[in-house]
Amino acid sequence: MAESTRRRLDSDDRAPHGSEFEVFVRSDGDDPMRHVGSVRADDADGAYELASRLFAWHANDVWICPSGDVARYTTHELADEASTVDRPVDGEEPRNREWS
Amino acid sequence: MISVSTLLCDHGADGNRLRYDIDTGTETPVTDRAQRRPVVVWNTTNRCNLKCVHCYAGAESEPKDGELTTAEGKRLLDDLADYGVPVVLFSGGEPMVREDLEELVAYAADAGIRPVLSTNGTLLTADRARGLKRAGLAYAGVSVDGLAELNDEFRGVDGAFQAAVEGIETCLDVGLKTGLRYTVTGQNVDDLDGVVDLLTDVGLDRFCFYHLSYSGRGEDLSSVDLDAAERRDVVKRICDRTLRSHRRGDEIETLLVGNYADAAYIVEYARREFGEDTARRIYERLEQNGGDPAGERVAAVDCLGNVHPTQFWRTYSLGNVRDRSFADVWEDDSNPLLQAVRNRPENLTGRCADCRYKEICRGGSRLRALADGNGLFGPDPQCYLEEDERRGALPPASAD
Repeated sequence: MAESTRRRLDSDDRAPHGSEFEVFVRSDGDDPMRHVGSVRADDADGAYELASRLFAWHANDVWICPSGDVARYTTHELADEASTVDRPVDGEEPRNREWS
Repeated sequence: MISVSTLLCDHGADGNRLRYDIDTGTETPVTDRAQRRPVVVWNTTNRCNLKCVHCYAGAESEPKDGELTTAEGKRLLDDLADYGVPVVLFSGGEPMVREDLEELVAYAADAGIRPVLSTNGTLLTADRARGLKRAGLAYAGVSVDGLAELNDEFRGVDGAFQAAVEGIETCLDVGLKTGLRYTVTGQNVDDLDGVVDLLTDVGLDRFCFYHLSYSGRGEDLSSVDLDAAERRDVVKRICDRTLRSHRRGDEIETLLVGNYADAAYIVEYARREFGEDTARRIYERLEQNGGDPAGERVAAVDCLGNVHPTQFWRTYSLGNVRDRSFADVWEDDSNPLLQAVRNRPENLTGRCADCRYKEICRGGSRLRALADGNGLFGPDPQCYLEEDERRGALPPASAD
């Protein structure tokens, strides 16, 4: 993988109205959860209901997470309000969190 | 977007003239590459100076924290240009409240994107209209939803009608191509002819009629939406009016937006008016056009960077342009909903499943189907086709 500088994006809610909830689904128990976008609702129950209407035909499992609770680190450079984060020092990261 | 005037009055037109799916002010053929890319509606702000009861964006008097900045907007436009997006529609809220609108329009034009505008028209002063024209704006669609009394009631502000009409006149004065956007509901259907007559006198020659989308504050208005008979009647009136105008030699453009049952209706209308051969040619052009464009030929980026399958589908986002490029979000084959929506003729259920027009309609609005409790692939409640029109061979029966 390319060694690029990552930046941390804001962690505010991303809904102009209501609240945004990230949606993860899987169709079979042995599949990984897959991020499939986000839904906008007043609360978690409303978000689950909407996500179910969109993905129930496909997914056995539906997880939702408040969008503002996700810490995002990205190499994509569009956001102004993003601070560069230091690259972890080699050898101090466990392999499953390796930077590159 | 369905061009009634092109389909009914210009039978020899190239099918490519129908390719754009929102009101972009043109039906000019676009390149093959651009045809595969969506037109992008960018809702640049949530702020609006009016309070429209049917606003699909649910706009408010103040901007939202975290709206894309000028610099972010330019990077987004670079991103869209790299991907080959042919047109960006600057929308809102009210995009004219953004002081950097002219700067963003110029940036889009320089990047090779056709910049167009959707506005309530009330802020179109001569200075700003000239500025937008200089910046490269190709078209302004101005919303008016009734004659003065009803429009101002819809818009929530006294004087909005007069200001919008003056805005249209100003655009025409500075040589900016301009059209009407009129969202038809049960409340304003009777004002439609009066508005078109008035604006024709002003010099307007492009009229786009929108069906109500059940989104934002429009969701609460589904109870005052037209019923099937009323919708059929108004679409017939629009077709009749278009034909009459062209027979008089008035080259007006008339478009229907937001309900692809209109495509099937126009084929049936042409069969009655012109016969089977013309109906078949119109069917073939509509087949080229592809039906409801959600998730395929139209995309939207909201003021906070969320990417939606259309500007109306606000409650579901495919991703955010601050996280990854628009192209990466739009081309993400791992999203099962996006894939299913793009293959929707195979997935449609209910009365759509065996409708002979499903290839040119593609089931209509998935958003309205969901809002009406019909499920993701159920029928659009605004479909007004009659049973005998939905049945039979493809394309129109006796054209086989």
